[in-house]
Amino acid sequence: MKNQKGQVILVLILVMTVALAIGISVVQRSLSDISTSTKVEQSSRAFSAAEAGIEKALNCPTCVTTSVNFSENQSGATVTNNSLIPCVPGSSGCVQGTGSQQVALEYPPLAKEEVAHVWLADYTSTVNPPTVFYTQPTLDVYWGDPAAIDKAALELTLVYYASGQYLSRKWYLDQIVRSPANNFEQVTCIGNYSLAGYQCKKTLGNNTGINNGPLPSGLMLLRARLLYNSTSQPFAVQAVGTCATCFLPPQARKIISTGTAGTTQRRVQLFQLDKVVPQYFDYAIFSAGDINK
Amino acid sequence: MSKESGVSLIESLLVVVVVGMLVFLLASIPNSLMLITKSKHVSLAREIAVKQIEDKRTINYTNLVNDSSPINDTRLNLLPQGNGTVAVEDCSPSVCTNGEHIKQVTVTVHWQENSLQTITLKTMIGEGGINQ
Repeated sequence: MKNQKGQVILVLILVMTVALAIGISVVQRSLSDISTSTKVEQSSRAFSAAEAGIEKALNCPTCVTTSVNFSENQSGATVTNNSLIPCVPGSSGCVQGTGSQQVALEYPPLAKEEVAHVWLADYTSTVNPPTVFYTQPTLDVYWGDPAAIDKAALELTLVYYASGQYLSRKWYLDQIVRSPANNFEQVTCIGNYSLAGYQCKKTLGNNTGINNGPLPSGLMLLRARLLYNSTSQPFAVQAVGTCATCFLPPQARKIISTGTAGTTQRRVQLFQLDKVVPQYFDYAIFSAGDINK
Repeated sequence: MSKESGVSLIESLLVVVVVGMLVFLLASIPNSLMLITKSKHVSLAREIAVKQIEDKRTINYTNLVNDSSPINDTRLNLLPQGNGTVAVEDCSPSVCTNGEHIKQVTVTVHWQENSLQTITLKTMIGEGGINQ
């Protein structure tokens, strides 16, 4: 008799444990489901608000900070609309003081067939050709993602104005030997420069490498295209020196919009160039005949 | 012998606890299942609303007219009594204080759970803005 009673209790406890496990797992799943869907919904609201903030900032280029508040929707966004980058050291609102080197102009990663466009002349000037802004004989260029498997090559076109006409100089830079050979200039890339996050560096106009004499006067603009890359990779240009005319003209704007809904935050960042020449520019300006569009 | 014939206090307590637990679990399972359905509906409603905003973003600003129309999406049928509206209006002067050319887009999706459920997404589309 005593044995049998003990067994009943054992079986009871077993049944209870199993039932408890099933029950708790169902409750657990429903709780996590509801919290996930709530968070995802909040995140959508935050993202929409962040996009709204970007739209507002784009429509008000002079606003330093702006905000959007959808109070009835419990969402909102704050937007930092920084002044033009790279700023001239010593000017108002610039972190670098007079006498320091200008920070690099870092592009968002360039995809295949995308062209980065860097003004070296003052693009706001109303005269033709535009007033020269950058006058140094050398210029630092950085490209490539150190972590990327595909090693990007770089095609550079420098446009300058001399003796009454626009002229160009080209650089074709590669970091590995391709097969079949492309006859690009080989650049030794160490991926460890003062500007972090770049695989390769080339100083234009320092007399090393192919066709790399000092940069001419009348610098107008520099256009860069990454080749052989399947992923998007970064590209940057940095002015050399600290003199009063050793700076790139401020030309791009970085708008950062942070959307908030409940406890969720989403951030949208936008990189805007004030003025660019059209995509077909590279082919059009140096063609002998007319361009039919 | 007298010990064995009766039911001890511990034994009856155990039975009460076990039965209580089982009743509690059985009662909470339908509730949990309902919560799972609800979260599915929230996700679906969100998908529908996001799609509407993306559709509006593909429209050129000049073709974006102020109106309020019901959402046309077959997935609304999966929500109990699901319906929704997408409204385009000029940005109110209190928000766009500089008279910017911006439209405000509001997407609302309603459906019936135990009570009326609503999801609202709001964003803005500006002239010369994203995708324009």
